[in-house]
Amino acid sequence: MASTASGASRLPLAWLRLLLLGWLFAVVSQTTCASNGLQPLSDGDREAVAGYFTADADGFYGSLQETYHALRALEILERSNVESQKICDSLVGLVQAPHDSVEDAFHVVRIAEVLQCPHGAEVAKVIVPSLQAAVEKAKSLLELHYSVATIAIIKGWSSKSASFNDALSGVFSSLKELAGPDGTWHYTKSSSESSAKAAGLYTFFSFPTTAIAYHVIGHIKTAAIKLFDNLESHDQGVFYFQESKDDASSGGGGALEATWAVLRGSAALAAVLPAKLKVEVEKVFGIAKFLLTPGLALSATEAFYQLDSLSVLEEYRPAVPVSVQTSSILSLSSNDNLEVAVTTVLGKPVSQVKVTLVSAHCIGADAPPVWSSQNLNYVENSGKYVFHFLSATTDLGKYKLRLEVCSVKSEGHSSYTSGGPVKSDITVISAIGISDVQIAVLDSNTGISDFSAVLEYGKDENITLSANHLQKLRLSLKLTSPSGSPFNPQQVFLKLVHESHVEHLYLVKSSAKGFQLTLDFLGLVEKLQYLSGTYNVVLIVGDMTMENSFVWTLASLDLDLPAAPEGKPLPPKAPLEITARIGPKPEIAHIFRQPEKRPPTLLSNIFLSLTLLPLIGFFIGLGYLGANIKLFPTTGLPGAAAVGFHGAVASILVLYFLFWLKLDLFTTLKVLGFLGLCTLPPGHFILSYLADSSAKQKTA
Amino acid sequence: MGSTTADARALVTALRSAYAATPIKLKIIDLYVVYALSTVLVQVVYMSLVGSFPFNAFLSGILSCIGSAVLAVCLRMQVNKENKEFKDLPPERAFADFVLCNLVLHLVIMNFLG
Repeated sequence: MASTASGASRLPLAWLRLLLLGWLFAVVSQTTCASNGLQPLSDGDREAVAGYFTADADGFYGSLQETYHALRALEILERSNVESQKICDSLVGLVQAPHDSVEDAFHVVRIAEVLQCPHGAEVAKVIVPSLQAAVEKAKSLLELHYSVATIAIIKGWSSKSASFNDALSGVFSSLKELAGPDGTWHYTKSSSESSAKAAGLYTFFSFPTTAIAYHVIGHIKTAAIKLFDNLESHDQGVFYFQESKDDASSGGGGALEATWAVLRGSAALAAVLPAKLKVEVEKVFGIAKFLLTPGLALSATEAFYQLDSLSVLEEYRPAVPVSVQTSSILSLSSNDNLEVAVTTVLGKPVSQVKVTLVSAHCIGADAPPVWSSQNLNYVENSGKYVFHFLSATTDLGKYKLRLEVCSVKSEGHSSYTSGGPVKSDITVISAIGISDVQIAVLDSNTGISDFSAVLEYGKDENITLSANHLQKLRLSLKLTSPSGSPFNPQQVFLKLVHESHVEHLYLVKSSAKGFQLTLDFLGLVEKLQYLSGTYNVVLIVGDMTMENSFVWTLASLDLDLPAAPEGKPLPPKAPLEITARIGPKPEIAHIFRQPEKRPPTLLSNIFLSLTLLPLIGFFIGLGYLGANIKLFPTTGLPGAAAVGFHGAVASILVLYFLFWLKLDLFTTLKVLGFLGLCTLPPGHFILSYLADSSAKQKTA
Repeated sequence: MGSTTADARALVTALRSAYAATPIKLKIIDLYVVYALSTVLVQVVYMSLVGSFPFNAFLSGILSCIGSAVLAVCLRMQVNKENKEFKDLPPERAFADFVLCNLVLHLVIMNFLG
């Protein structure tokens, strides 16, 4: 589903950012909330997005286009601190100033529409003459878009709009030339790239004119449906429209702007068609997921596209995606009801759906479902669907729920989609009863208790026990769930904390009679590190389904242990600061091998020159001996061969010098082979020539 | 005592006069050998002053000189007309061998020099 007609798919940076955020979003959504994967726009996101728009002194937000974006976005976010009066008053002045582009007129008209300015008629009167010329002159998709869209908006303000219809019908036939075979469009006749955004722009402006022939509508409709086949998809069911290279000519904007353009276009088309525009529900849902990715909008323009697309999705004719969120924890002690919130992507509650609890299973047990096929009731004042899930016999623990959200069929209303059946997990918790808590100090040999006390949970009794190494400590308690059966929590521990913060943890085991632990100090003397003194006896009980998990200091124990034997070093006491144990270790400074000492440069240079001295001596000696090169052949082939031979040998020596400086052995060997071959013929020739000539001299 | 010095002096004079009779070509080769060996000496003195780091450079330096000297001695043996062993070997061929062996030696030396 990832092929588009737009040639090479280069990944814009925004898409990479999106990939990371989309993955993060998917991971987070699976671990924290019980929902259908779609989270409506959160308050944090709204605040962040509203912060992108800051007004100038004259009430505008930058250029005309930016001002329109800001006004529309703030309208969607329901912020009312906008200086509409000031802006409306300046609009007429702006339109009257001479300008060439129809784009400015387009933005002015859109601002007037958003703010519902009362000067509509005046603005229309000024613009209408230039618009007609613009429509006839327009060559590219963008120019047509601006002029036709402006006409569409001011139709209601001016009485001259009827004359536009003739111009427009001519426009449609020239537009068909810009269409591509797979539902995408080009920006101009000469451009080779097609783009989904262009398609969106095309369908967007086509509409609120009345004089459109039926065949044109049909053509546009099939093309629009084909367009949705080009949706790019990504993991976790996120769909969006990829931008194409040509989109830079219309202002770039990436996948977000392309998706916005297509949504706007298809919504406008659906509003005009007599029959419904069929788009697959998963695709609409996927687009909604894309638009609700946290951190999607990083600038004012992106915020506008995100918010405008979301507002289109709230009333999208083919299907309106809804977010379904269930409560995740139900408490038996407060008798909570199961609440399901069904909202649009911008957070408005939806009441025209039927929510059914298909099944609810207890996780871990193979028992039949606790509930099946139950309808939930809509409660007006909270905007949620409610079901009385808990009863006296409901077990504690986790439950898997399966919900279905169906649209109630009614005229004029869109159908709502939740992206398929909704699965969620809930946990039923309760307060657990603690009873029969008894702590006793027993004599090891006889088993008779020297001291025992019964404690009551909730009362702070400050009991002091004392024991020595010949005694045992026994703890017993009972835990009961609200249904009366014994409760087995995940954590039942007894902790002994010495005054020097050394801690020891013991597991309290359960049996048919409840929980019991016996600590025999004789065997534990070494584990307790021979530390005598005051210990706090702390009971820790906790479980996922327990509302009142606790850490309870039962008593303080004066423990008397024998002293540590001689020679055995006491293990170090636990450090007070947890960071000393878990924090960073000291940095290791590596010591590298010291480089060898080199002789001073002057000494090396002196010896270098000393090495050359014997060479000089050699040449002086040669002169002294009377060596000469008289026999060097000077003319003809022998001369050339001699020169060639000496030259080749010299070149080999130069090669060796280069080898020493920078070449590697392989290159050297290759070149040496070549030079050797060059040396052979002249060398052979000259030496055999010399041999022959000396042989001739001998015989002669 | 006196006789040993006198004998030594006589020996040296005899050697010198005998040496004067050697052909020039052989004297040239001898001079070359002396040159190579004196270069070795300079290098050894240097090493004794500054230590043998890097050792490979030192080795390649002295082996280059000693190798050249050895090859020159071989050449002298082969070119010497009074040497019956190499009567049939033309001196040009010996020289060609000398050049070839020197080139190979210096390739190895350059590789080892580093």
